[in-house]
Amino acid sequence: MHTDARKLENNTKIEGDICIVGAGAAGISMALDWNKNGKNVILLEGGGFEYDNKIQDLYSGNSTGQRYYPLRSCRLHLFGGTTGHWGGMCAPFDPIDFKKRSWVSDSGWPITLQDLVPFYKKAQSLFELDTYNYNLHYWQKEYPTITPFPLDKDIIWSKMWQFSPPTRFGKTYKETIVKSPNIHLYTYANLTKIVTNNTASSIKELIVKNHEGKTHKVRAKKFVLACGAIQNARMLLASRGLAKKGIGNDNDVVGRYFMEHLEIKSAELWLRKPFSTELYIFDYSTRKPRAELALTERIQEETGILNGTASLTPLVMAKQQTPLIDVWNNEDPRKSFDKLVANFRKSREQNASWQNEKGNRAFELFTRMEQAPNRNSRITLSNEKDALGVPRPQLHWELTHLDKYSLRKFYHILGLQMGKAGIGRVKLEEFLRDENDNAMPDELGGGWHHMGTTRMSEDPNKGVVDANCKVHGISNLFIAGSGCFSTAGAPNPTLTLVALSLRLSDYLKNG
Amino acid sequence: MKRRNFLLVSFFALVLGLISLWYLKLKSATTKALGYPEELSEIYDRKTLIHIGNTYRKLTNENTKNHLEELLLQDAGMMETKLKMNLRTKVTDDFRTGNTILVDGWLLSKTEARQCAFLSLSEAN
Repeated sequence: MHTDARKLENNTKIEGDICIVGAGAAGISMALDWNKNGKNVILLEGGGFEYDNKIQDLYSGNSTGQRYYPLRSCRLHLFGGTTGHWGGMCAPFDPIDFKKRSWVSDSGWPITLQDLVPFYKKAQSLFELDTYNYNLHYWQKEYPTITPFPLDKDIIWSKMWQFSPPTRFGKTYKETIVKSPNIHLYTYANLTKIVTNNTASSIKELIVKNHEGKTHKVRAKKFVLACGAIQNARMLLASRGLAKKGIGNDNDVVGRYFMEHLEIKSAELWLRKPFSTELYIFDYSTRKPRAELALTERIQEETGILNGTASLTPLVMAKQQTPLIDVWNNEDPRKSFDKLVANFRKSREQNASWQNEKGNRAFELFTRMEQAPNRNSRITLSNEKDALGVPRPQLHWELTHLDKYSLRKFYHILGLQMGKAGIGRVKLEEFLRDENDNAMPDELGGGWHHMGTTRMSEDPNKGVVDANCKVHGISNLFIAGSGCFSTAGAPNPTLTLVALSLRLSDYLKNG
Repeated sequence: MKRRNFLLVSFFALVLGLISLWYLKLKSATTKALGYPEELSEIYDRKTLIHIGNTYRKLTNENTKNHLEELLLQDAGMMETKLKMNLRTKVTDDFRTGNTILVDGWLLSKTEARQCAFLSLSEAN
C-alpha cells in the first residue's frame, strides 16, 4: 500500500505494529523482510518516488574539520535513498573488523563476523549478486585467467569484491512494497520529532510533517530509525523533551564517532615486467569480481595499523582523474553525480592507450581505509533550522595520527613486499613521504560512507545501541544502518549495513 | 747475458701488462655492475636512475665513488658474475630486512639507490 502523506487530512493518526523511518537500503530491506507476514508495517519516507529539490534541501548542513563533500548532496532523499546513485561495490567486513584491537582505541563490536554471515547471504540476493563467496580460489575457478601477484601470503592477500548492477532499490522494489498487503508506505512523511513516554524509557509516537503544512502522528509498538547515520543522530539529538540531551543520549555518545572511509590516491606501482592485472582491474563492461590488495590480520597487529585496501588503476587512466572531493562539490546531488561520471568517462577514454606495454606496467594505488573511531569526530545540531523546523546537522570530521600513520605504513609494507618479490617498485605520493607530517591533504575524500554516529556497544558509555541495535535505555527504539557500526572496516558499507538491518529485522520478528 | 735479461724483462713486462689489462677489464666490469641497478633499469630510463642517484647523494653523506664502491662491495666479491648475483641478492635482502630509503617517494633498496648514486657520479666524471 502507498499513501502520499500530503494528501492525508491534517493530524492523521497512523498506527501499526512496527514503524520503519526511512526507505533507503536499510529501511526497504527490513520492510521486504516483513512482507506478507501479517504484521502491520509502516514505512515512512520523507521524499517521494522522484527527486524533489525542496525535500533534498532537508539534508543540508555544514561541516568543519577535515574537508568534506556538501552534506546536501551526499545522500538522496527519495524512495530508494542513496541506492539511487551508489556504485554497487560489495564486500563483507573481515573478521578483524569486529575484534577489539589494542592499538585501535574504542575498537571491537559486541558481535562477530559469524553473527552476520547468515544475513550477508540474505543481503547478497537483494543486491542481485552472485553467490556469497569472496574467496579468491573460488573466483579463480570461474575466471581461470585471474592471477594474483606472487606476494608473501602471510603479509598480503587479495580481498575480493563483487559488483551489484547496481541495484536501485527505488526502482527494483517499488512494486513489491506498494503492492504489499501489510507494508504501508507513506511518502512525504518527514520525521520531525520523536516523542517519548513520561519516563523517557520508550517511544510513544513520531511526529511527521511535509512542506504542504500537514502534521501527522505515528504510533507503533516498535520504531526503527533507518534514515542514515547523519539523519538518525540528528533526529535523536533534536528530539529533546524529557530527555534533555536528546533521545538515547544520556551518556553524550549520540552523534559521536562519525566515521568515513579514507579514500585517496596514495602511491604508484611500477612493474618490472608486464603482468596480467585482470584480477585487480575493474571491468566496466562485465562488472565481474575483482580484488584489492590488503594486509593480513597478523601484519596489522604487528605494525599497529588500521584495516584498508589498495586498488589498481592504470596510471594513464588515473592521471586523467580529478580527486573525488574536487569533483563532488555541488550541493545538487544530480549535478555532482554527473560530474563524477564525466570524471570517470574522461579517464576511460584512455583505456586504449593503457593496453600498451608501458601503460600496463604502471598503476595508481588508491586507498580505501577505515577511519579510527574518534569521539571528537561528530554530528551536532546547528542553530539553523530546515523548512520543517528541525535543526540542521553540523559535521565535524576529525581524523587522528593513527589514520595517517596507517596509510603511510600500509604503502611502506606494500613497497617492501613488491621489492622483495621482484615484482616492481612503489612510489609514495607527496603527502605520505614525511614521517613527521600527521596532517591529511585536502585531496582526501571519503566514499560518501557515513558511519558510527549511533555506534554499537554493550557499554552505554561507549555506544548508543546494543548488540541488537536497540537504543540503550529505550525499550522500543532501534537503529538500522551504518550508524550502528562500531568500526568502519575497509569495505564499502552497503552490504554490511543491509546485513545488519536484516539481523535486526530477524531479532524484531522473533522478539 | 744481455739477451737473457732482455727476455726476462720482456716476459715480466708482458705478465704485468696482462695483469693490468685483466685488472682494468675487471675494474671496468665492476664499475659497470656497480652502476647498473638491474631491476630498477627494467623500470626506469637512465636519466631517471641518475636523478635518483643525485637525490640519494643529497640525502646521505655517500658522495664519493670510492665510498660507494666500498659499501657496495661489502660481502659482494669482485668477480663480475658473482658481483651481479650478489648485488641482486643484496637488493632482495634489503627489501626483506627493511634496509630501504625513500628517494623522491620511491621506496628503494639502499643497495640499488647506491648503485644509482654510483652511476650518477660516473656520469658526472
